[in-house]
Amino acid sequence: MITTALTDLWYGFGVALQPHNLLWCFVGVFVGNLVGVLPGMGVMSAISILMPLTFGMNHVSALLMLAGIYYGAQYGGAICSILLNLPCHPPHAVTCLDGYPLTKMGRGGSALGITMLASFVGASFGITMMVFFAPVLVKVALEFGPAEICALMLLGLLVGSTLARGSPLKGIAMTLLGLILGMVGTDVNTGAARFTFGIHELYDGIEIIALALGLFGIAEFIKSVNAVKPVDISGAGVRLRDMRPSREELRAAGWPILRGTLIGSLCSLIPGTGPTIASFVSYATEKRISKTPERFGHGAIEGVACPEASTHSAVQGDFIPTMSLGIPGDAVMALLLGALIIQGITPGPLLMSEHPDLFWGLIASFWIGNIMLMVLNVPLIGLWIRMLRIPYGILYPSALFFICIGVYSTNGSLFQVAATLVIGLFGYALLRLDFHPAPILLGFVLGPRFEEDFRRAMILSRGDLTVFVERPISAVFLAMSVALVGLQLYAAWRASRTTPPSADFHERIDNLASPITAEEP
Amino acid sequence: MKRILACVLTAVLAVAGGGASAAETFPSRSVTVVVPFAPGGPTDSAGRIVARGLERVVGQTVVVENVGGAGSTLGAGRVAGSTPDGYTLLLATSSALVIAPHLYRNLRYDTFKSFTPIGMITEAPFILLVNKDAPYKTLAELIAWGKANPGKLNYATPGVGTVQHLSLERIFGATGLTGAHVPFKGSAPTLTALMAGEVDVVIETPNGALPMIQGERLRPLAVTGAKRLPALPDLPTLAETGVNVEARSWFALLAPAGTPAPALTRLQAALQDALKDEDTVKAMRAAGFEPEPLGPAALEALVAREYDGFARVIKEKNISLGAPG
Repeated sequence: MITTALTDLWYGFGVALQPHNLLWCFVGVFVGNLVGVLPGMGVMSAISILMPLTFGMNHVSALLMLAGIYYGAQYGGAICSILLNLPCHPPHAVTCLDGYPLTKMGRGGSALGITMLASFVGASFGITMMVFFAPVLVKVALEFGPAEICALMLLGLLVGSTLARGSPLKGIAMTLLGLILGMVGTDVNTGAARFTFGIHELYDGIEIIALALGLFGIAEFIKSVNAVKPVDISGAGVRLRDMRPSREELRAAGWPILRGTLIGSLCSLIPGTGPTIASFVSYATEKRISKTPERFGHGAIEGVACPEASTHSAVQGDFIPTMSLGIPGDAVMALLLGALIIQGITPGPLLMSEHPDLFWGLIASFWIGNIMLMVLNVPLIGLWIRMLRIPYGILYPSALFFICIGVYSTNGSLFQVAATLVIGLFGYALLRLDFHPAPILLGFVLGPRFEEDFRRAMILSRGDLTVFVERPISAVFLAMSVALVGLQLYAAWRASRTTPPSADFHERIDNLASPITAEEP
Repeated sequence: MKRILACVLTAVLAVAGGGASAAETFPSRSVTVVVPFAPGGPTDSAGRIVARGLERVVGQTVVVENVGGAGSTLGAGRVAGSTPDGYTLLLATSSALVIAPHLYRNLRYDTFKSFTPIGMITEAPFILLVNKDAPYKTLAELIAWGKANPGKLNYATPGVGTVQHLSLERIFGATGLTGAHVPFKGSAPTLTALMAGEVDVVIETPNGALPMIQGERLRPLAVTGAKRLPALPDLPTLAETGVNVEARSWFALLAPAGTPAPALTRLQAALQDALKDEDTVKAMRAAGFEPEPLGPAALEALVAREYDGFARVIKEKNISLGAPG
């Protein structure tokens, strides 16, 4: 199997290295990279805008370019998250948590360096999986029915319940708020509208990009405006030498990158579980297994490396079910298949054998595209860092402008722009009250999948709850969930016996390193 | 100062001039076709192919905008509430026009009052599919299996109140089968669930079903049209198997009511031309659609007929939104 895969891959490189394919692949990743840096400008809108351009193209070039936009955008997406606390794409929201504190500590450059490394490793792993194991992995993917997905989401929610820094109670409250926000919209099982208050724009639910940009980007802006002096970023203006992550940082990032990669690959196989869920789950896992979880949220390099690796391996892995079965895993994949249909190519289980040039050319182009992205981005890190030297009064208003444009472009509705601003104000209030917004996003991302698949599993089992224990994969996830809660309770019990209850412990940690309270007038 | 004034005046005149010419030659800017389903499904494919065909005929960009949700009523509502200038059109399916009015309260449109027909694009029967390893190889065997195991079958649909849902209800009703309805978000995940063996029965349009049949991932049992499909000549129709149900999906292009007559006439002619265009026909066939152009009058009659038909089914089967399954 391995030798045929290698022969096919060799053939794929032959296709991808043809000058016109190479050119379009470059155009794709370049545009994707740009789109990634612009806040709110989504991959979906970029692909839809450029799709008409592909009509005149050969079908291989068309697919290589459109796919390039998708994974290229992920490279750009981390940059603003780390430097400006601005999650341009939902998967990178979680990168803000540690990336931005790192920037404030003057280590934004090395955070970007680690990000690029993590991205490349994650993507490479995703591609390798696709080359050698696509047929096997598709079988694994089909094993994930409603019960399995539901159990996995439950595990994700439990692992992530301590995503926030500070008070665990506040963290749980925020997760619950996220779950409620995720319920807004039309219920899949009955068609009933929930929490829409008669506002028709809410029938589609709250846009995740509006929530991410509002809670992180805009809330942070308002906070900075209110501060007596702007955040000191002079330390962030680093030389090229400082951008190279130190050996120590590389060592700290090594395992997290691998763990993130594995979680990302797993998530990519499960239909409808894209990079966003992957990056949140991997961050939460990393924090959970870390020996020093209190460092997370205050500039832990692992907190950047792990979710980024996860995002990128999920993005590449996303193509596996889509290309092997011809059934799109998410909306972006659907759009790519749609482009193929318009080219007169019918995606389906036979795509791989009927159009080997397309399939293997695409995979080969992934490698080429990722290398191009590294070459494009690593020298640019210095340039991005310099962006922080732009005076505050110019940088943030223009970022705000780009946010509005980007959110508007997502589905052409002014309602979403207003929603982003309102959520931003709300996020600011939360920051002032010392509630951290990350768990809201976690609940929002995982909750709807949990509910939808729970109810689907209940219909299929005719209301019999034992289905979750009878199915092995779901039973394993449930056992892990139970173990997690058990360990937590045990730890709490031991802590209450051995040491006097330190109510102010979290508070102290917060005050030590959190700039949120430190900077206020 | 004079130069600034001159610039401003020129700009104003240019804008005014643009407005005047817009009224004369429709369309003078890009046209949006709202596809009321998520990208990637059959409606989306058809919409994009037709948009491309229209683009060639009218010489302006035709953008597809996906506004999915609530059984396609959101997209339909969006178009019904848009300015009736011919620049926002709806790619309608039976869901929004002939089913939703019987299921949804407070719809933001009325099938007959909110829209003006431009024309029919295509119609297609459904293919009844089962898992490739299922014990039943024909429809008769499926019915026998279902009767031996009452209530055991699960049928997946793209959502409550979709044509697939109601048609499957009719098929189950006519054959005496019983089972549970498992709604998904769109048709793509129903195929994955069928392939994985999570559910037992799905009906899907030929464009989505044929690749899965050719790839031997799913097994077809019957076609729901009046005659057999040219692509699958051995596959019997429901009627041939003694099940007296006919179900089809269709795609039509509509404009909001009140669209000015010149724009409407232009669009009606453009659609007919686009559907005769060789490249469009080729693209449609490749995607599994057969162009079935129908004029506005014939379309209106079909809508009226199906509107009453579905009203009966929904009443008989007592289907409503907000109730489980």
